[in-house]
Amino acid sequence: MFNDARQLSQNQTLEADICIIGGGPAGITIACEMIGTRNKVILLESGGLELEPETQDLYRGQNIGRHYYDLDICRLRFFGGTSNHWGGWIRRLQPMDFVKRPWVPYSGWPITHDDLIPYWERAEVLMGFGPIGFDALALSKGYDGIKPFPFDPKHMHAEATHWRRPMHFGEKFGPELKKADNVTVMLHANALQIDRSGSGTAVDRVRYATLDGKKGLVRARTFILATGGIENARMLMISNIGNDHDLVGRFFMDHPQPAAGMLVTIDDTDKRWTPYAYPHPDRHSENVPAGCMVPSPEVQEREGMINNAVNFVFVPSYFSKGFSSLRRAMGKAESYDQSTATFGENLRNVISDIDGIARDTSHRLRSGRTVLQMMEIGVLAQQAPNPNSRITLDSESDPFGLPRLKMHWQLTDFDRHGVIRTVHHVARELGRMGLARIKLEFKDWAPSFDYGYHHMGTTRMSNDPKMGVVDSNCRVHGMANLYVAGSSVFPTSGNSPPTYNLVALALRMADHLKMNA
Amino acid sequence: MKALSRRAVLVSGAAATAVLMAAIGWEFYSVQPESYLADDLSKVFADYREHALYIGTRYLQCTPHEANRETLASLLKGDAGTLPANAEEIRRYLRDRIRQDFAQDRITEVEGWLLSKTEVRLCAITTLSGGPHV
Repeated sequence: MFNDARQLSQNQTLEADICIIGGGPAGITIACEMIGTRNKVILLESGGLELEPETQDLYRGQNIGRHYYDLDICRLRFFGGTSNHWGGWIRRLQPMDFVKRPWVPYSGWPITHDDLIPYWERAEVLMGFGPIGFDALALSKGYDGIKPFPFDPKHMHAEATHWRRPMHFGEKFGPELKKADNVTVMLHANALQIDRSGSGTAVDRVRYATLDGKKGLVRARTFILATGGIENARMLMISNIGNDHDLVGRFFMDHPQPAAGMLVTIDDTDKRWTPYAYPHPDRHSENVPAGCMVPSPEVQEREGMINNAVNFVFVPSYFSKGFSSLRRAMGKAESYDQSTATFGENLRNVISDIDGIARDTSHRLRSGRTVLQMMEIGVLAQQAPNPNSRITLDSESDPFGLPRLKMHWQLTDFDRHGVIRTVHHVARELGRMGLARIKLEFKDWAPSFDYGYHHMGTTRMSNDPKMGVVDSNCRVHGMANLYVAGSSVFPTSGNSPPTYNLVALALRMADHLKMNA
Repeated sequence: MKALSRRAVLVSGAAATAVLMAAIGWEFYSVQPESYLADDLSKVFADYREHALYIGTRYLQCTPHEANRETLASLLKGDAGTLPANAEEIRRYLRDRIRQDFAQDRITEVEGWLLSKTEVRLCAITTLSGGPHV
């Protein structure tokens, strides 16, 4: 059922078995899993069913590190949470992402890739897109069985990223929750602080308030903090919980997605490029996977780099002056200037001649046919966990008198090295197969570039309390009944968008709670 | 032995060539002096000369110590010692060599492009074999 905290009595105390703080993808997933169980659940949602400026303003904060999106823009504070602007991209974390790698500082999850497989499968059902695959075979299937490139698995492999019409969790699951007798979604209830019990090793209650002045408490046996990758840390810091080792708020990660260069194909009639040219002009993008290329674990170890992926963006009229003008107008002229295009065109003719094919390429290009001649290269990069990339509490307060946030996002030379070596290795493998040449344009982190709105790492998972805020069940170390859900528990980010992966983790948590709560 | 120019051999006619070959021995052709190799290699891009010049010029600007036809021919020949007999086989040899370059990380960067040593040297030798630089 739905309720509104503004309609409650002043200082009302609510009782539940499970209190979920936050109505985003993680909180809603767990609430849905509890429907029909013997647990009485209260889900506290700060906002309403639509965006409300006063509530959204509670997310305002300062960026004091490298350029980052405004904190009240890159998150959404109403029912459904940040899924309300989710992009819809779906890919699993890879086995390598879970492994402790000596060359990647602070790497390693306390759970394995295999541990999550049943939950990913359930997430696919829950999210309504059914079983999908993520390997080269799945990519091939998405394109009428086009043969995949014969990558040497010792060097590289292909992965499929799926796109589905973005699902707003509030809209999708709101009706189910509304009908549920044992679950109450309490709108406009802002969690202010989590209070410990007398022993200090468990949570006793959560204080909430509305923007129009109502206050109250929620008492429960189990509490789940699910307010997003940034806000989870803020709530723990405000409550002074889980931070015995000064880890809360540290290790903030996003997915940098720098435009890293371009690619020129040797044979633009080679249909095997089709899954990688995204969005392909001849294909509808929904239900068709997009290919990306990932250096093998062996290469990553040898190169001392993190697990990045490379994708390609189809450029329909690369050489046209109109396109160049447009790019210049968009402020990216340095990457697409005339000299680059000229060099690429000359290179293309030379490499095509060496292979004795595509002699009439330029004629085909001018004929208006779709040819996969040139593509932009994007790196789906991850950053190594870095304790100095962090969020802290600010001296400025919000309308509840609670400190706002300061974001100090950092990227390192290790991260830069990873991007360069990833592109280099893809160039090497594509050259070895006689498929393409690559221009590497990325030299260092530009003042501004694309990244994913993916907030991760601030309440990281580890079985060692000195290395993580939560344990392998996402329970806060030292607290018997407080759990954290969402991408803030990711110790490393992988190169996959987090929503689908955090939903799988939330399902796993729900199972754990059903057994133990 | 003093190296003979290819032009001298060609103008002497078939009969004279046969006599000459007999006189100097078959080793001459199995060794293939670099200046002759350079001639052959510079013809690979006969139809795409303008494009090869563009790349070759830029490579040589970054790698002036290779700005010599014989040096480049020697580097392109590698350990093979000789080139195949006809254009089709030369092309196949070069294609395989380029792919090996990538496999073995013999990659050079020209204006950001990650290219095989063999292909840029091929462009460079075309550049040094006449014609205005682009």
